[in-house]
Amino acid sequence: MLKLMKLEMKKIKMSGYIKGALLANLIILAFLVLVTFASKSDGDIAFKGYSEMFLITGTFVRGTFSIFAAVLISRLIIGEYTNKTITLMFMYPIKRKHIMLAKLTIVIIFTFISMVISNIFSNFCMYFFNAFAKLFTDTLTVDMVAQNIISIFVYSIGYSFLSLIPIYVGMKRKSTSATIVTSIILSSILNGSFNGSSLSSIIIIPLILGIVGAVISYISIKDVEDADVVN
Amino acid sequence: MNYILRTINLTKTFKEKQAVSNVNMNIKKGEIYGFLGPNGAGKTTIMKMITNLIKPTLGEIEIFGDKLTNKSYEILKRMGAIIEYPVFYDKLTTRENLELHCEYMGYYDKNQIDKVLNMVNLNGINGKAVKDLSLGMKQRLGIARAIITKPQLLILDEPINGLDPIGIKEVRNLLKMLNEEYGITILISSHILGEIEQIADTISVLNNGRLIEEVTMDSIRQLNTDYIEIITRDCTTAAYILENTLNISNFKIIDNNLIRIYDLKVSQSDISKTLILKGVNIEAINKKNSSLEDHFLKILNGGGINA
Repeated sequence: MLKLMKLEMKKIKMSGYIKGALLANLIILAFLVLVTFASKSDGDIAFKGYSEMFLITGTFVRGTFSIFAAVLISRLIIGEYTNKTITLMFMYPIKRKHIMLAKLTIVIIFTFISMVISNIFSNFCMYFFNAFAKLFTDTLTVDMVAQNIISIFVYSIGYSFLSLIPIYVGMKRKSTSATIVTSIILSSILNGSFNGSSLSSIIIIPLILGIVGAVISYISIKDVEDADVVN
Repeated sequence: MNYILRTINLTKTFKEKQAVSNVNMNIKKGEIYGFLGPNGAGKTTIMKMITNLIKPTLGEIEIFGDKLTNKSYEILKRMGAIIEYPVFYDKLTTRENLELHCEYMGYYDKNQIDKVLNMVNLNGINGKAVKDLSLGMKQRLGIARAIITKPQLLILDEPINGLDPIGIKEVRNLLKMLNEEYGITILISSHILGEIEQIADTISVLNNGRLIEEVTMDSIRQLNTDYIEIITRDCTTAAYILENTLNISNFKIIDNNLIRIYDLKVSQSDISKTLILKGVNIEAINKKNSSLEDHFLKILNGGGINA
C-alpha cells in the first residue's frame, strides 16, 4: 500500500502540490492581513478577539484546502479516466481497490496535514501580526491555545474526509471540472457566513459530512473491480 | 494441442447491442495470431476482455490454461498489451513512464529499459516528456512498454497505426524476432490485411462481432490459386484450342474476351505460342494470383457485408 502511494505521488509529481500548498499559505496570510487593514480603516474591527481570529483563519484554510483536495482528486482519480491511463493502471497485477484506496489515502493525508500545518502557521503569524498592529488587547492563554489546537485537529479530520464528497460527482460524470465545481459549491455552503456564524462553525456538521464523505467515496470505488473500463 | 488462449462462446452486450457474439478463438502457444476485421468489428472489445478491462456478458476466456476471472491478477503479470492506442503519463519522460510500468508490474531489471528502447529504436529520447513525442514514437514506446517485462502473451491492438513505412517494417521485424527468439505468443489486430498477412501464422476474421473464419496461413496459401489470364477478342477459338490442342480442361471463360486458365501444367509461353500460331489474336496474357485479399473480401461479402 505504501509503495502504491509512493508511485502515485511520483506519477503526479507531488512536490508541485506541496509548493502550491506553501504558496496558498502565503496568499491566505496576505489576504488576512489585507482584510484586517481594510476593516481597520473602515473603523470596523475584523476580529474582536483571538477566538474570532482563529475562527476566521480556520475558515480560510479549510476552504482553500478542501478545494485543493478536489484538485488532487481530479488529478489522481478522475484524470486517470479522462486521460484513459486507467486502462493502463487496471491492466497491472494489482487489486483495483488497492490502487483506488492508495489514491484516496493520499488525498486524505495531504488534506489533513496541509490543513493542520497551515492553520497553525496562519494563527501563529496572525498572533505576531496582532502583537505589532494591536488590533485587540486580548491575552492569549495556554488554555485557549490548547483548545484551538484540539479544534484544528478535529475540524481537519472532518474536512479531509468531507473533501472526498466531490468524488461521487466526478466519477459519475468522469469530469475534472465537475469535481472542482462541486467542491467549491460545498465549501461555500459550509463556510458562507451569515451573521457571523456559518454551517461549519457547528462542529457536528463537518464531522457528519466527513462520515458522509467516507461512505460516498467507498460507494464510488466499491464496484471498481467488476466495472467495465469503457470510454 | 497447446493453447495459450481460448475463448468459449465469448459474448459482450452493451446496452442491448451485441458487440461481440459467440466468439470461439484458439491461440496456440508460440504463434502470431492475426485479428482481422473492419473498424467496429469488435477486435478491441475482445482484446479488452482478454486483458480484463471489460467483463464478458457470457462465455469465458481461458489464458495459460486458467479461467480468467475478476481476480486473475497473476495472469496479467504474464501479458503485455497495447489496447486502442498507447496511453502514457504525458508529463513524465519516456524513462519515467517505463520505470513506473516496471514498478507496477513488479519487475525490477532496470537494464531492460535501455534494452527495449534500443529494440524499438528509441534510444536517446530518455529525457523527453511523452507529450512531445510523435504518434509513431508513442506507438513504438507503447510496444517497448508492452515487451519490457518479457511477457508470454503480447496483445497489440493496431500497433502499426501512425507508423511510416520504414517504421512498419521495423515493427514487423521486431515482432517476428520476439516471436522466434523469445517464443512470445502474439495476438495482433489490424484492419490492414497486407500487414497481418506478412507476419501471422493464424488469422481470424471478425465482422460485426462475429468470428467468421479462423484459419492458418498455410491453409490459405494452399487455397490460393494462381491462374493465367488471357485477353483476346476471339474467345471461342481460343477456348477450342486450349481444350483440344493443349488438352487444358480447367479454364473458365469469364466474359467475351477474358479467359482464365487454372491448370498450370502448360507454361504461359507455350500457351501464347500455340494460340498465335493458330491465328488467335492475344491482346494480353498474364500470370495472376488470387490474393488473400480476394479471399477475405469474399468471406466478408459472404457475411452479407460490403467490405
